[in-house]
Amino acid sequence: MLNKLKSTFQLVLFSMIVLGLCTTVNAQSLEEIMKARGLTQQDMLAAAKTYTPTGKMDEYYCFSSGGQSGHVIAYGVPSMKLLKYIAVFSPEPWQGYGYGDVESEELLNQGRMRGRKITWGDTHHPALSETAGEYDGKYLFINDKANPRVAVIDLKTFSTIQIVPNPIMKSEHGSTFVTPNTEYILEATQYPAPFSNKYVSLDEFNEKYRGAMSFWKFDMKKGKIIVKDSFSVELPPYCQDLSDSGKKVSEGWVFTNSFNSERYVGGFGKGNTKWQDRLPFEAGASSKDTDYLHMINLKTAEKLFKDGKTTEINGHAVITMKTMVENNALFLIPEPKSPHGVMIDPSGQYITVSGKLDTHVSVYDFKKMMKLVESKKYEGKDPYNIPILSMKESLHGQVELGLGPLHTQYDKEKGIAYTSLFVDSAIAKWDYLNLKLLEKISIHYNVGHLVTAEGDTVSPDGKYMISLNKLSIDRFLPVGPLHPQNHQLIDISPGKPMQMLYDMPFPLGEPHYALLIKADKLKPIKRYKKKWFKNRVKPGREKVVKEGNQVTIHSSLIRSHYSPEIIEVNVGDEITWHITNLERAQDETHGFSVDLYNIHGSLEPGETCTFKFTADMEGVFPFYCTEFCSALHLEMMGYLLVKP
Amino acid sequence: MKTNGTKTIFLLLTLAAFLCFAGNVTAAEESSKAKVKQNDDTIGTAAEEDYKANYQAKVKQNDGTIAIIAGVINYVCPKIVPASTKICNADKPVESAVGIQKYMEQNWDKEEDDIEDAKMPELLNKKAALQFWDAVEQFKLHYPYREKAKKATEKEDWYNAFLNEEMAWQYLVKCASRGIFAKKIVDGE
Repeated sequence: MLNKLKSTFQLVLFSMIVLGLCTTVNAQSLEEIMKARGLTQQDMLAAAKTYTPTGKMDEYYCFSSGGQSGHVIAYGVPSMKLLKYIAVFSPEPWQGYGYGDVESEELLNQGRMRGRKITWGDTHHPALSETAGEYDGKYLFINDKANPRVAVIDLKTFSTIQIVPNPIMKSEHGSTFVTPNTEYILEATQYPAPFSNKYVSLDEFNEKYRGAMSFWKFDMKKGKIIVKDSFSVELPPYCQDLSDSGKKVSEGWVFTNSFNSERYVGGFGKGNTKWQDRLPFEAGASSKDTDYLHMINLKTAEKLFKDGKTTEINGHAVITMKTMVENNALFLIPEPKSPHGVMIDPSGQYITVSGKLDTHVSVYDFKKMMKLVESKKYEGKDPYNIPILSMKESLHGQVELGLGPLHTQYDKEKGIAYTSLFVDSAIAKWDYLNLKLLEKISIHYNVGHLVTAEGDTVSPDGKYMISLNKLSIDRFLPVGPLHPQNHQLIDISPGKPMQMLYDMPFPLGEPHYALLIKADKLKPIKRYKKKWFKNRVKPGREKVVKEGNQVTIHSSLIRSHYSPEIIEVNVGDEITWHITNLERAQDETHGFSVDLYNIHGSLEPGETCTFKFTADMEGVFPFYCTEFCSALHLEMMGYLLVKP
Repeated sequence: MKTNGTKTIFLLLTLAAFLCFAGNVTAAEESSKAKVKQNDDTIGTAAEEDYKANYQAKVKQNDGTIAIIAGVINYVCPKIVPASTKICNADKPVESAVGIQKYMEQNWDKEEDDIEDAKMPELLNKKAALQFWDAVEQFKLHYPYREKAKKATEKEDWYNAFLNEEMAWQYLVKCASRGIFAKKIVDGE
């Protein structure tokens, strides 16, 4: 038999050599391939700049919000290779997130709002933890616009470790952004609503609907938001939008812009209210030429909170606008119509604001703003008695960039910024110190956010920029009416025109914002330490304990068997099933699935998960490893036998 | 266990094929010769005399697999640890393998560090060594089952002798699987 196999193998080997020779004979030259595929020299250059051969690693991680999927997505740059979908607000079976294990169910339960479990999120803006204004690669934060929540992701494991619901907001947007040493995570409201959970008529919009900025205290050592040390600042019922934290000279201040400072309420469309004959929200919300950039003194707000100058609402400390104004801690500055981006430059002095309905980008000078604040020179007050600083006297200047400017990121080169132009479907490179447009590049199509390498830190890298486009239209093979989004990688190396390098279809929700961090800043672990898990099962200590209808199973798994493999219980038994993956080898993940019980776990090497369920169905239920873990993977199974 | 160069190369090339096909086919052939019969009382058991033949075939297969693993160890060992360590001994491949593991683990705090993060002495190819380390882990796990198999033969319990020998083979396959990773890495494949 062995001799026969040897002959067969030799035949196969010979065939491979012959095939190899044929391939060599038929090999095409680079020019022939370019001609056949219709590629230009520029295309070949782009390919060479992005192609990352097997075994080679990318230079950057990109962390992108996963939009409506409720996840965060990580991929490598410049290859644009997808690395991981990190489950945050939504259950995700591959990672065993939200499918029966106590640990992830507990996380998803942290995100309950008014007692209700929510199994999706509209993730918008990831933020990386920072030390001295630089990404430190330790934690990632992400918000949920739809159900105002903030989550913490541990970058040692690339998994969610905390979800914190906002007790006073009904929607949010300007989140997550962090202070330069990650003392606080910012979260700003989007649509005003009463802080209470009671019904309040829209007739009382101006009086009882409110916006807010929440400051979530983050403990870097514990890797945890400390809810009791967190607070919010009450804001007017404008639609607060994007936020950013001051840095260097502006450290200690926080900024958020807004739209609908008109406080317009729509109502358009035949319905059942008295507002049905009014024009839509979009008409009234952008009728003024300017809205308000909010300027919040965080240091003062923090002191007010610590001094107890707060009102408790839904168990959460809120500093009223009145208190903030009395303590010179809240100011407004007019900003161009319908703004959608506020970004602070690496020096902390210049603040770029774009008005979607203005072709100009406005650059504010923090030092000028502070002079007005310190001299108490106000040009008026808003209806909530908040001082308004002069726009003209706060501005460093304005530049006309194009149609629909939205967001700005910064370059390594001093004074250079990039701004997305939604309506133009382009990105503008410009000089915000000398107020000059330098160059534009077309993107495909309708860019929202953009990201440059470490572009919102105190020392951006330049090199790469990604345009996060809302529409892809004709860029990819058609997949029906719902198109993927398009992430376009652009080379922004100094001294040459911007070059489009790569289109990556993004097929899982609308990714709003993304961050690029140097790969070597992250130090993910390779496996869990068994001692981290109090319910871990040591090898040889596997057992099943039955007390009344309480059945506790202590089991382990390793290539390629569960121990024990057969479990017998009675209908109605309450099962607690601890499972430890005993593997010490890297990448030896095992799955655990019990059919019809909607259970699925992913057990990474060293990890222990606990599953709790009631054996409420009689029958025979095979369980098996869902990862192709070894040559004997198919044999890695067992039976849960539920007796009547 | 010493093998000559040509034979080693051929064995290395055919390792994957052998483990994936030859092992199973050989065992199947032997089983077929033994005409496995189903016992009405016990799940999956056959007549004792059939298991004796199955056991003997499995022992042959395991010995063959270990010989191939030995070839891999002798091939990979000098590419992982420097000659100055004198760890590699072609006459005693298993000792060489365990020697590599010990050499790697001398500064490893098992409670605190992943093996990848342990401060290791000089290695010629750390990436390959890490895969090799797990291969040795798997290899070590096959011993108790072969012991149990031998004990079962003393009682002429051929069914359990066969199953324990079979279980030992599972670990040898897992060892080979990781060993192939190590070989691919040292070969730059």
